[in-house]
Amino acid sequence: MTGCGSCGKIIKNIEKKYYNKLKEKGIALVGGAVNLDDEEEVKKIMEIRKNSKVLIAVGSCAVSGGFQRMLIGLENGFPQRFVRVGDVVKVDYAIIGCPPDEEEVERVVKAVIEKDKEVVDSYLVLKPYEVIAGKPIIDAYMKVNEVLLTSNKELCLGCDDKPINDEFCTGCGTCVAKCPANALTIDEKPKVNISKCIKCGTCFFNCIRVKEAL
Amino acid sequence: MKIRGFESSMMGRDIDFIIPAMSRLCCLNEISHALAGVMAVEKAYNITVPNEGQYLREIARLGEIVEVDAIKLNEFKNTDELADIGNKIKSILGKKAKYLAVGGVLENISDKRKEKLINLAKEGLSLVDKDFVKLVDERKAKISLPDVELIDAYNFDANKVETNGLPKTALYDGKAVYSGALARMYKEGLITSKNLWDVLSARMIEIEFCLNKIIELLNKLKLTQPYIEPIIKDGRAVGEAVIEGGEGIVYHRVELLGREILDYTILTSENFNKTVLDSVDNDEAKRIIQLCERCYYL
Repeated sequence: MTGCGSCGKIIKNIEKKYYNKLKEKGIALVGGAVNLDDEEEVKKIMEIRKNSKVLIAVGSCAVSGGFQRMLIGLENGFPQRFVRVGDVVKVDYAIIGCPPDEEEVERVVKAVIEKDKEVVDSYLVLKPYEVIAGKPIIDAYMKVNEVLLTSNKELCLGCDDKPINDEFCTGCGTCVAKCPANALTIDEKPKVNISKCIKCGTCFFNCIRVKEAL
Repeated sequence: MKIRGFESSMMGRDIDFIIPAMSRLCCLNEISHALAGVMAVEKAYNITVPNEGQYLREIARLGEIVEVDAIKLNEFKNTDELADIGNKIKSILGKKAKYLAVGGVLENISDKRKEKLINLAKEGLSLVDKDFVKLVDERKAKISLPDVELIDAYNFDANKVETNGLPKTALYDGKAVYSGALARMYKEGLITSKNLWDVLSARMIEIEFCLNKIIELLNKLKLTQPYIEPIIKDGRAVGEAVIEGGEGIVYHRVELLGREILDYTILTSENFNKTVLDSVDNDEAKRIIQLCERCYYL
């Protein structure tokens, strides 16, 4: 899929380690967003889904479209529409992060392989995809003339210039520490520098209050 | 992969977006793309960077080269440990160049981390296989590949570049030129051949060269402030920067209006190397160069 390749590297390492078990259980790991204007890519993700029992979206681009949503193609005059994997096929689990932590991805994969309910339930990352990424929003992306609009709108995971509403925020600073783009600062409550934000969702999904709510 | 629009998507954005965006162009060249973008802005506004910041940036860039050289040698030799060492060194600027900024580097490292990095570089040096060059020579004797023209960032003039099509293929001074480890090591005088096979030898030689440089730079670090708050002037300005990244040349040009990006141009080694591969048209050459698709389909 389309991305910087960081998640691909992580997936490769994990596939090397758990190749037989992943194959046996029909578990597929996918990183990167899907380019709707690349027929081959759309065909590929559909094939992956068809051939797997469990599909895990690894990294923010696969889960929410992440940074790729901010790219618009257009170099050759044609817009490219980058969407999350869940907008094209059904995804079972989601692991957010840009890039996600390799150890965390491994923990998730192990838990899915072992069907360890206790472990599965204890990780937010193992909540079903819909809980993490919301309902598919493919309609908004499907219209060609809306591509620029959606990119410029920079659809986020619900945040504006704050990871969560002030009324819920405890000011613990976890989101600031976890932000991979250094886009957050904190005085009493965290604030997002929108110019730096890559819409990866790391702040939101690492928030202790969000974890509690989920 | 299709063109993602890394140039067009920058237009109208704030310069703060350059680092998080460019470090996500390619995971292998995350430091060099972010660094070239930042340096182009610094050139546009004559922003100076403290020595300490420059050392940290250089260490990260060299770490990236170690990682990429090792990854690209993997097709011929197990270099996983060296790649891991390069990756750990480049994270001196944080994952995805998190601490890189216009004006320097936001945070310095601790004494303990400096020590760790020195030990890591020394460990890397012990893993360098000096006999690898002989193996390449043996292969070279069996399968013939042509010599190539070379280009490096230190003798680069953007006016001599002619690009064609999209994704861009590029000629330099009207010729197909290779950019990467072989060009750099040839320039350093550590390799005298221009044969395509020696891209492999150059990568192994370069790993050792970079690790030694990293130790030298780490010893220079005084762990003082690596950042000065930059002054971004109002008005129009143009800046360009060309550096050697993991794969090869990374050229970024920005046209700015205050903090706003009006235009953004990127050229990478892969624009040149694709032309070389097309002219050679040989499977072995493809295995040796290993074109980076992400740096080609910007």
